[in-house]
Amino acid sequence: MATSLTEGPAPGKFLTLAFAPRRGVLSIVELVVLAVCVIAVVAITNRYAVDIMIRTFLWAGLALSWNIAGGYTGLISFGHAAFFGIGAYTSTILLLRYNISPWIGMWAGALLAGCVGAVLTIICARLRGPFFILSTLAVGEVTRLAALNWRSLTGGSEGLEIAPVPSAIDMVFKSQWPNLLLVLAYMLVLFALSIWIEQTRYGYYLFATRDDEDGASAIGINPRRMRALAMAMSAALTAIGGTLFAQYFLYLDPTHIISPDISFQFALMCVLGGLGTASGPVFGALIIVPLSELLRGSLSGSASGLHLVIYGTIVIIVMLYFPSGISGAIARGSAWLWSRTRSAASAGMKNP
Amino acid sequence: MDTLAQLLVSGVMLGGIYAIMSIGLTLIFGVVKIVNFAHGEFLMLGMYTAWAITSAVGGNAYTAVIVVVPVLLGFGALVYLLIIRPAVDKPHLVVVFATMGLSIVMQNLALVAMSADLRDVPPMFGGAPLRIGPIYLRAELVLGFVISVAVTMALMIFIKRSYIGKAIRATVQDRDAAMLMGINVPRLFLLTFAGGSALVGVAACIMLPLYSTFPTVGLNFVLIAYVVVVIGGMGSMEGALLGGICVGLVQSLSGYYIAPAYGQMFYFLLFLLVMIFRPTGLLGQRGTAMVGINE
Repeated sequence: MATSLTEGPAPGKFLTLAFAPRRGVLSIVELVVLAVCVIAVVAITNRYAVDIMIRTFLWAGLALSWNIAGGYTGLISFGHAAFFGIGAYTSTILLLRYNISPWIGMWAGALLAGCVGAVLTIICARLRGPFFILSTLAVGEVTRLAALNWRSLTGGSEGLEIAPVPSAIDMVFKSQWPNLLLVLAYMLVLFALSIWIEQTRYGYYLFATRDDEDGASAIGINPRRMRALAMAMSAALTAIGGTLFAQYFLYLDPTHIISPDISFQFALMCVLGGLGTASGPVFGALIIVPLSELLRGSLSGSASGLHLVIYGTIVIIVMLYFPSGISGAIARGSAWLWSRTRSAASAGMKNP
Repeated sequence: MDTLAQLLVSGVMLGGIYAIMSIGLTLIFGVVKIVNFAHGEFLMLGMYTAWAITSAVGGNAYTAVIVVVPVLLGFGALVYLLIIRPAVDKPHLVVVFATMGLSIVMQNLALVAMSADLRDVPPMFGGAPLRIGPIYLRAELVLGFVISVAVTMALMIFIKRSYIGKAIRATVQDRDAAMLMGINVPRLFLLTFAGGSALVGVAACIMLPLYSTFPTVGLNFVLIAYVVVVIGGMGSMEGALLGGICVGLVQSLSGYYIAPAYGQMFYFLLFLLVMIFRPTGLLGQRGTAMVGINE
């Protein structure tokens, strides 16, 4: 990219609209969407629909976790499936072997994943751009292969099964409701956390680290520490999602849990919704998960994979033409409407 | 001793194949400064094209190169014009995710069009292994190695001697200065991307007799290609050859002496070690890893 001498530090290095996301109409849209989610939980009773809702909210929470590292701090990771897998496997192994409740096990998984995330970020501190991305991809693969080959611990490719015996202590439930409430809570807590990050100075530290590292260290932020912190938080929260996943599906195997595809999904949901915004990952998951489940249902057999062709095409188009995603589009649209109404109002005042 | 010799030779041969598979990626990285996350799917397209030609028209995988290379050249040019060019001056994330979207599209189009069945070509040369002293090798592997080393060498000479090669090297060193010297950089990007894709076509023809073709075949190999280019140094042809041979050796030695399943894990660990201690790779351009690339 040609650097211009007249402008200051190169703007727009990142994809978001502005370094501090503007609230406003976007918050109204967010609140409406979240309220609809909560109402849907109460109103919908169809088993299939509830299953789709559980998946959607879980994915939304996972995408929000990814967004803390990838969106807010610019640490694009294609290895988050490793943290997801660490969370799922840690709590499941603790449950199956030592009979420790997943309610406790999930914190153990989160701690472990958080440490791995922090260490990864510290040792890859010098890497930027695609180099960092490829390293995270390699970490994901190493974790997958480790889980695949450490048979005595993880059961290898046969996977681990949690006995479907309902017990609140073991986080296994007879109906879908408790699972639905759990993942809804997971999503809402992460959403609140994201808003909190955006509004406090820690968020600004992260944005500064992402957008202009030298500038950030000049004003006394330690970029390395901020990066490690963000990645640790993101990894730990992803691990908790992993436990919730394991306790809902009751089956784990390395090929499906720790595949690069899972990591790509986290990233792509954020990108479609709007990277580095609190609502983006939620919008991304709310659109992608139900859509792909429904399309998979209706197109199955005749054209398996067709829904992913459509999905990939949308990703390309969004990336090239709407890089700030759905949230960006809403924010921009509302800003435009706002300026229109303002100018109309002032015009009205001039002509009595 | 014979076992060791066998492992070393087959590791090096395998490395040659990995090098030709990665050289397009490293070339594109060096010049255009982007990582094509659909690289593996380009390989998959090449392998399917070669398979379709051999089963519809006849001939073998090596003669199919006459069709596969132009197909990949054209496809690469198309992808460059439609997806890469609009994104090349934007933050690197745009290219990363746009090519990732392309990879999803290609993988699933292949799944829709060709189903998930494995496609193979019948073994050539009667399927009998080649015997050199105490070492047995698949003839296709040896031929593949010879072709890939020859192509890599030819490419290096081309880059060293020809006008286009000099323009490429100038652009790698300093894009803005190259532009000031009158090099048509946008056209060079197109040429490099299409040329890099054509090299994937060569790799596809070499790999078709050795591996099965299926819609996600690219993912397996692209991960190896990333390892190869990072170990060798992104943007370096010699590095790709060196990196390929490293990975081939690691795979064949650890596969025999430790456990086949751990072979893959070892080259990913090697990759991480290189990234941590020598992020520019063994023969890479200095500084690229630290600044990111699209700055």
